[in-house]
Amino acid sequence: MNCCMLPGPDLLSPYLLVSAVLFACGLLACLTRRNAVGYLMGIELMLNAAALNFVAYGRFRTPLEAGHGQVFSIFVIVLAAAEAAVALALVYSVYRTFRDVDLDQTTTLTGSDT
Amino acid sequence: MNPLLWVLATPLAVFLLLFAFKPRKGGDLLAIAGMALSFGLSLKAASAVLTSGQNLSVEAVKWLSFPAGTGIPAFDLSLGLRLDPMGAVMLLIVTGLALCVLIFSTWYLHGDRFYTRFFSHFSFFCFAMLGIVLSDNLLMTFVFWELVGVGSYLLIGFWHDKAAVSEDPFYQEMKAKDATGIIESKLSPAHAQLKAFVMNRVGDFGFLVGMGIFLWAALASHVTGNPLSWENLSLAVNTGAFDRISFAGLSGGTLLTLAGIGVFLGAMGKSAQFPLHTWLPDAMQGPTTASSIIHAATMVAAGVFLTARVHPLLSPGALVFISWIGAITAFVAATIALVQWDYKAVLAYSTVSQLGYMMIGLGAGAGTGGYSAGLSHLFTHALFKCLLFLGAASVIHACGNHQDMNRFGGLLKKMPLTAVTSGLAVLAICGLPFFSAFWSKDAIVASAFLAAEERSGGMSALLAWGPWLLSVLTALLTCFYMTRLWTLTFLGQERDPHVTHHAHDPSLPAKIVLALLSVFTLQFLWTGSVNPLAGSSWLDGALTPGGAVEMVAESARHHAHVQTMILATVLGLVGIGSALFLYRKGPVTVSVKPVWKFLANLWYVDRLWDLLWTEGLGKRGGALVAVLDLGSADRLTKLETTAPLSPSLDGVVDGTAKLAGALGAVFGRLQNGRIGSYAGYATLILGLLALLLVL
Amino acid sequence: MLDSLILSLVFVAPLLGALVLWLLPSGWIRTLRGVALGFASVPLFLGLGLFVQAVRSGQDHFLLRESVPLASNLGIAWHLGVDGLSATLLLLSGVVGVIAVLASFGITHKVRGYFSLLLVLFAGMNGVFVALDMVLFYVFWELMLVPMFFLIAWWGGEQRRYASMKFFFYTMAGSIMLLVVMLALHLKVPTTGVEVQVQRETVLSGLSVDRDGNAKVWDLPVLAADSLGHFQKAPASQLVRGDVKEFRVHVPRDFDLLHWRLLWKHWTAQSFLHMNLAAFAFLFFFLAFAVKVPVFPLHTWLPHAHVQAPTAVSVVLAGVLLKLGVYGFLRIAWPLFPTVAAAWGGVIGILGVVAILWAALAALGQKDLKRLVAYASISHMGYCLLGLAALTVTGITGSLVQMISHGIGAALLFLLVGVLYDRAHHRKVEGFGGLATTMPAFTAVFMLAAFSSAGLPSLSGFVGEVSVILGAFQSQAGIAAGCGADLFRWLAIAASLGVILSAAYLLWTVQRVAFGPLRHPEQASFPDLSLREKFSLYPLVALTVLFGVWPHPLLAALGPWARSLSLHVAQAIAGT
Repeated sequence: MNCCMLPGPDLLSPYLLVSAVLFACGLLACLTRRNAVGYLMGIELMLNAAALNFVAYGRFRTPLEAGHGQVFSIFVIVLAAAEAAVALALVYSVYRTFRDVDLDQTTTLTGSDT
Repeated sequence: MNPLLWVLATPLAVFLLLFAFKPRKGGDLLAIAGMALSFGLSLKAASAVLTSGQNLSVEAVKWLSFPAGTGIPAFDLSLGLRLDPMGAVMLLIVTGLALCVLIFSTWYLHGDRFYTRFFSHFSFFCFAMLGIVLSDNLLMTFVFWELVGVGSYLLIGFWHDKAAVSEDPFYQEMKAKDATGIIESKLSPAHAQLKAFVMNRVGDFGFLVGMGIFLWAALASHVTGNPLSWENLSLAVNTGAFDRISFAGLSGGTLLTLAGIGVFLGAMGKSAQFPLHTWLPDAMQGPTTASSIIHAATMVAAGVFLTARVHPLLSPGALVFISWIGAITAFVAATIALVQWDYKAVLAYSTVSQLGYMMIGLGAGAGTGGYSAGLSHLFTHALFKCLLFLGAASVIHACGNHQDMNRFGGLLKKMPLTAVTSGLAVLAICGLPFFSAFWSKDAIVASAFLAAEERSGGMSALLAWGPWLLSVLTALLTCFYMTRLWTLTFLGQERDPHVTHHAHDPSLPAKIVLALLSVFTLQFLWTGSVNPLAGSSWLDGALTPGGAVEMVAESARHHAHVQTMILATVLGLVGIGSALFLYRKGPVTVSVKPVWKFLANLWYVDRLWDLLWTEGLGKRGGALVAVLDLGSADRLTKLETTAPLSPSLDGVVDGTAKLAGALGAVFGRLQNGRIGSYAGYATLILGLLALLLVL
Repeated sequence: MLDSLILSLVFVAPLLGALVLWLLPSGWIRTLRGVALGFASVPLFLGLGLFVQAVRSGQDHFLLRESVPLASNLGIAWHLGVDGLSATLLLLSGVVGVIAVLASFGITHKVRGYFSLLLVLFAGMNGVFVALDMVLFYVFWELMLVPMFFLIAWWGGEQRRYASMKFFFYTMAGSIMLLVVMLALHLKVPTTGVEVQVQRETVLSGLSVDRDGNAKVWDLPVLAADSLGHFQKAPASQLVRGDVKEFRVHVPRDFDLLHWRLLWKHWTAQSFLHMNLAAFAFLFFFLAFAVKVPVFPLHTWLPHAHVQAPTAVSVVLAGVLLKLGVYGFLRIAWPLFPTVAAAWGGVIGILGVVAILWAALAALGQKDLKRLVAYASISHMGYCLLGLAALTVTGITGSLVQMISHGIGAALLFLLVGVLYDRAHHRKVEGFGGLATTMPAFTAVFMLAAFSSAGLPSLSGFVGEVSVILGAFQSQAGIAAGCGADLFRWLAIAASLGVILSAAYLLWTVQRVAFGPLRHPEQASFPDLSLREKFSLYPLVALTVLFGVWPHPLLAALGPWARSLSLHVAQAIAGT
């Protein structure tokens, strides 16, 4: 049963592709950026990529009137906002302690004796 | 109460009283009174046993009882007393000599700083010795065996605060100029007592093993009562218990030989047989009166006594072993005694040698008369050796505690009684007619001859005739060195007037003791007749072993006896004569230096044992094991949680801890504090998991 | 009710004492000492009473036993019991405990904490001896660990941190093995329980009768087949008469050690981690208890722990804690897995003999008095192991008696070393010499302790040693172990060599310390034994002489126990 109530071609795959690229960008940002704020941006990217994913599936694979995908994307936005608040507070706390937001300098909690 | 219990308990009571209350005066009198009581009761008991031939006994008391297991019945190793004829004579000798020595010691140790303690320890020793004599089973003998070892330990180490002789100026001044053979840094009463006890323990190891095998055999035969009692052991052996068990492929006669040799090893330790004899000369560090009882008459005799007790259980193979050990001991000790300058050392080695003789006798077997010969020599030797030691005490005391014969001489005029009594004892030990050992020692040589004849059929000539040959040689040597001893001390001129100027006979009680004992050097007291060739004696009841024995033809025995007596008398006269001639004017210089050196160094046995056991296994072996176990001393000072690794057991254990630490360090490096890397790890692992799930 | 009170009091009293101590001000040192002594004496009197009862009864059965379910869905019950073995060990624990408290009067800092930890330690020890539920056993076993760690770590010598850590981790490793095997065994029993066949002798050993006259073994109903083949509750009279030989018992899934004895066949048939469950369980039990005994080569924690611990703690460690390992063997490992124990008996016997000889040689090479005595302890425990592995009545009895006499002897030796340390503040053997003239009473006690440890007859050390050696000579356990019938005879001969070595290292030590001239003139002013020291030493001396001359009480209390273990293993091997 085709859940697409609206006519039009099945454009799920392109959306997924975009979402994947966005996620990859966000992951890359997380793995490589030194700046804590940049790191958080990466996380935002990943969250929004997930939201895009939800919306795409909601449009092309679930009944439209249920609006599952859109509801989930609202969830994601709210969660992202909350998480951003907390994360920025943490970054600010780190800045106060280390006078720096360079993540490569905040390495005192290690597993060896330093 | 049974007199045997009183005999045994009185010395123990004296010891306990003196130990608990430590009276300043009167301890000696208490000890003498107690021993007199013991002696009196022993006389009564012994005469009853010897005249009637019936044994006296005290009911056994349960001691170590074990319930039954699978295949092993319940048994109880009880403690009981038994007095048979052989034990009766031994009892008389022990209590009688103990009494004599106690009386003598009141003079000898007068004024000593540990005076009362001597009487206390002496009584304990007598208690233990009497326990051996009166015991009715093998385990009880072992118990008192060890206690006798403790008594000897206490008496040898009597002057426990004395330094080693290497640090003792008096010893350094008084020892002979060319004295050698003694490891001086390791000679002190404390060292000597340790050496005696540990060497005896080597013998006790054998005793334990032999006892274990005997118990196992006896239990396999399902005997009633104490499986280790003398009767039950004979029963087990005679009913073929050893054929029913096997160990290391040995069974029957060979296993019995093994068990017998095990028990004999205990006797070897106690009776200072070669090679476990090196403790006895060192034991001369104790008071001479202690030596007179322990190392002459009783404790060392315990080994012979035990061998006689288990004699019915010994197989022919074990008897050959015993003969040889005895022969070697007798010969080696006699050769060493030839070159000793220390009066007590000569006597010590003479004791070792005579004990070897007794073992030759016992090893010759009952049929050849060796058993009775060995036992009779045990009894006669006890008396004249005790006399010799007491004479030594007298001489040493008189000469200001000097023991070097080089400084003696001419004491016959100054100490006539001592000289005469010691002289009688010397004649006795030489085995001349009309003296006690003529009867006993020559019987040993004769029995060795007969035994050799019997054995020469089944084994090589050397193996069979060796003991007899060595016993004859030793007889010659004995006469020689004993006469040398007496001549150098009592004849000739006073060589060192400083030392011998004030010499005189001891006080009256001591003189009486010496005189009394010298009477027993005469043969007629033993055989009951003045005829030197009389073979039988009032002791005969004591000298026949229990159980049936094959008797060698009477005529052959008589023939051998006569031959031996002639040979012995000739050798004796040669030995005495040559010694008298050589030494009448004083010490003689020796020409054959290497031989002399070898003998003076005690055949290097003491040094060998010191090298192997004390230095080798004891110090170096112990240190090695300690390092292997816990690491070096250096490591032990650095024990923190980061202790250095070391090749030891403890190091291995610490190594596992270090391994855990190392792994922790490796894995710890993953946690570098960088959040980016953490995110990376998480991604990697999640990706892999996802991949696995999909695949 | 009274039974339960007595049984619980042996460990509740010390715990209560620890609590009371914390309520007292830490400055009242005399009161603290008195209170500690008082509470520590309670197990002594209880142990004495129980021991006397055990001697009188002369049989191997439980004198007191109480079982109350605690968490029946988990199978945990408050199951305590005392038989001949436990009673004797409780007596030992009581004596050593009181004497340790007396010896602790020299502690001056953090007195309150010290005594309360000591009392908790006693509670744990005594609890292990009476626990018959595995969980309870484990709890008490763990309870000993923490106080011991702190006692060494806070009141010990210079390297106390190292020693206490090592002790803790080693023992912890063993405890973890205990936990694993305990759970494995428990979980391998089906939730509905197992029906096992038991022999009449097994039922008789734990027989009780319920209200209807039916037989119960360890509180489980005994079922016997009737004429139709149905299994019904068996009346006790039928059982005693001997009409029926085989019975069935439905064993529930729980932690009861006595129930577990009935399950050994069930476990032998199971597997765990590709190993036979019985073999795995025995291995882990053995390793767990082997650390405590200690069995060579797991013994290296002992010299460190003993040397660094204060005197009284060493006394308790050597006097009682080492026996807990052997007790674990006797109560759990051997009865629960007799066939495996017999199969490994050869290896265990060899380890015992190696311990005897190795530790004796190591003792010869020691320069620290306390470490020397520690090695003497290891050597003596080797005799226990040999006797146990020999599986003969004489051997096991010897092993048990050796435990008790070593407890007394080691306590004596450690106290004596403590006497010297209190005066000289060092333990180097070379640092002493010729003390017999200044301290004659000390020398006399030292000599007696040395002779007893060397196995001199008429002192307690002899009975155990000679019984082990004689028992090993009779042993046929080598056959079950697959090493040949003569193995234990060779081991007995090797163990007999130990008598030479023990005389050597002990008497050599006495000689170096007490005899000869006084080597250090400042030691001429050393006082002889004080009254407190006499109070702690003389009772032990009296016990040594008493048990040496009159071993009857020990043999009466322990002999039947040894017999039942020996028969249990023999029957298991025979396949019945």
